[in-house]
Amino acid sequence: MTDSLDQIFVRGKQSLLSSMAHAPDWLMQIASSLINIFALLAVFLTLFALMSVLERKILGRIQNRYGPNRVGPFGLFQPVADGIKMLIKEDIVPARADKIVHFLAPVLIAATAILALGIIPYGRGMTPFTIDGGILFFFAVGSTTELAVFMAGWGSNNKFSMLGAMRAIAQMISYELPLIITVLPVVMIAGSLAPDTIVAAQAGYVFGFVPRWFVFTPWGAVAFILFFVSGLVESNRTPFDVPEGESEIVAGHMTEYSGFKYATFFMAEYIGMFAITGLGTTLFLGGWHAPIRMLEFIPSYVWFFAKLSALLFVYVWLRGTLPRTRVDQIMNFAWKFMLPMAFTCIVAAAVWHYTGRGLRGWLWSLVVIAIVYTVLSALLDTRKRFAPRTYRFAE
Amino acid sequence: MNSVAFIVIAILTLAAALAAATLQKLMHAALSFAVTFVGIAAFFFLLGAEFVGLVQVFVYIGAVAVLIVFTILLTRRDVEKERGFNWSGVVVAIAVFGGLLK
Repeated sequence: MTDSLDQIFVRGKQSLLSSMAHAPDWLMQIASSLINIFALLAVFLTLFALMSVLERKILGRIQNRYGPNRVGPFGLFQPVADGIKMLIKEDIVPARADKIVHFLAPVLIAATAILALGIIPYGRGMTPFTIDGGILFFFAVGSTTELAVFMAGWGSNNKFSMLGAMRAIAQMISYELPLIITVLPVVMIAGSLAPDTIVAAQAGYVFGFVPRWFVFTPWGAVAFILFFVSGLVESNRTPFDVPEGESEIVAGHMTEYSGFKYATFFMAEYIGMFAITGLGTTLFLGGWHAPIRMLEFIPSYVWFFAKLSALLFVYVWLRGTLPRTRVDQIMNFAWKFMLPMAFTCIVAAAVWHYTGRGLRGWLWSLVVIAIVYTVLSALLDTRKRFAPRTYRFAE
Repeated sequence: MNSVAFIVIAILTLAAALAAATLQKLMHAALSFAVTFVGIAAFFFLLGAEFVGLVQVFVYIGAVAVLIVFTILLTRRDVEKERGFNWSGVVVAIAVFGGLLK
């Protein structure tokens, strides 16, 4: 019973494919891929619609107001109204803009965001695109986003777009480094770049009740926090959304976009957010594994999306809580703190591995991280020490 | 199937490379250069070398193309005004190609 519920989507796909069993091999492959693509798009575009309304509602609650509650029950049809509004808006292209580049930028940014979703295992045997170098694929596709952002900024022929694109690319390049380096310890310990193998490496329990997720090791916990912050920057979310800081540069690289092209940028940002939280879940939070043995009867995809939603809630929570950082603060934080800590995670993971992956390894890797953290924070501390205040008066 | 894919990718890659060499605006040339890199990565995939293909995309689009584009962004605007045909470049290209064929 539980197994059939767990594999219901996999079986459904197989039965769909077996209905055309006499077709040639290449047609079957294309059909199989198309089913995966349609499922992926249906799930994540629905999640995007839901997320856009839930985010506004949660933000509203944080700020002591109701949020959208007019359209449909509890305001749940708000995304439909938003979509219609975006579709019937006039699509303005600036007269001096580079028409082709201006048009291609939102297409490319949406395509890369959706491609990155393909390698994530959503449940037991539910990876849409199985490839050995899955993690590498994710980052290869993700690095193309920078080019799309740049095309948007340059193609608009507007100085605010240009400045926004420059900020976006600068911070994306800076944070791509810690993002990728925090993934390395996981790849080292799991011994594979394939997401399915990494999830499989996190199966089982220590002492019978603590799940073997990487986030429960010292290096994993630190790497997860670094990964989460870098992911926040990569998806241009609030504490780090200087590329679109409306008080400074209008809307950054999206200034000259209106109507559905703007909505495409918006969608790409959300899909990118789902992709990065999905990868975080896969790498550190055990993917689709259940946290307790007793709860393993709940289907694997439910667990995956529960963890994904929890991470997304933290994203919204941070947006409602933290003010925007400055550009120089973001850069200093990336190069002076995040990068050394990310390297420390690699060393700590190696120490954990060579001291037996048990309690001893746990303690030793904690010691490594604690030493580096203390030294680093002492070095970077620029606060003034307390001292008797001195006054200077006019003579 | 594979030979059809090969011909399609080859035409796209060569067209993008030609565009990168001849387009008037420097920015367009840089972007079509990025398309060339994608084509080369597709060749690696076709040959079954997934890892090399992914690294090709990762390094050449994520780093090299972005670097080129950033450089264009930081230089003065009138750079893109005149871009005559570079005959010495053609000579070098033919020489390299001849050396490779040999």
